[in-house]
Amino acid sequence: MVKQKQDEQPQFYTRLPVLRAERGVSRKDIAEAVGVHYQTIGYLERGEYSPSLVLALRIADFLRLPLDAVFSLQPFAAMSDQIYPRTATTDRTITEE
Amino acid sequence: MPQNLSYQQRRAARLDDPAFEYLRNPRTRRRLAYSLIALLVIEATTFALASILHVVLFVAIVAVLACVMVMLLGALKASTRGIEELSPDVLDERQSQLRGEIFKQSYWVLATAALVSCTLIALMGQPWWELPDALPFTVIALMLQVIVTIPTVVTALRVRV
Repeated sequence: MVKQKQDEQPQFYTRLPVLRAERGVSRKDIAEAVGVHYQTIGYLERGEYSPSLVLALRIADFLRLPLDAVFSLQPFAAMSDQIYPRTATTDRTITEE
Repeated sequence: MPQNLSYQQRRAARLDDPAFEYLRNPRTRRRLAYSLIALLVIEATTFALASILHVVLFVAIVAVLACVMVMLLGALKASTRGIEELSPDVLDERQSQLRGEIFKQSYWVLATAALVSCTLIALMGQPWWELPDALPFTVIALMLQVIVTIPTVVTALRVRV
C-alpha cells in the first residue's frame, strides 16, 4: 500500500506491488499489457504518479480484479489482517508475549 | 526491430535502449547537462575571439566542439529517453505530462534568453559601446543552439524521467 506524495496530501493508495508480487508478474509485463512504459508502473507503485482513469481500469482489467481492489482513496487494510482477522484471543496472546 | 515501425517509434526504441542505462541516473544527467552548458560557453568565447585566431585554428576548434556537442547531446537524449523530442503518439500518459512540463520550463528559459539577446543587440547599435564585430554572429549562433538544446537540458536538470 503506497500513498501519493504530492503537496504532502495522499491522493490515492494502490495494492499493485502486492498483487504483482503475488502473481509473479513483472512491471514490464503489466506495462506491455496496458500500453505504458515500465517506468510508469514503477512511479505508480511508489505513489509518485496518479494514473488516468483509463490506465487504472486497464490495470484492474489485466489483473482481473475490480478497480477498488487495486486502487483506493482510503488506505487499504493489511492483507494479513483480512486473511487472518484478529480476535480477542489472538490479541491477548500477542500482548502476553 | 520490425520494418513497419514509424520513424518516431524507431527513434523511441533507440533512445530507450537498455545499453544506455548507465546514463539514466540524475547525477550523470546533471554532469552531461553542465558539460553541454560549458561547451556552449566555450563555443561563444571561440566565436568572440574569432578575429584574433588563425583561420585554421578557429576551424579546428569549431570542428572539435561540434563533434563533442553531437556526442554530448546524443548521450543526454539517451539519458532522458528523448521524451522531450518524441511525438506524444509514442509516449505514454506520464511521459506526455512530463513533456508538457519540460516545454513550459523551456519557454521560460528561452524567453529570458531572448530578452537578454534582444537587449544586447539593441545596445550594439549604440555609438558609445564598441563591441567586437563577431558579437552579433556569436549571439545569433548561440541562440540557435540554445533553442535546439534547451528542452534536453531542462529535462536533464529539472525533470524526473
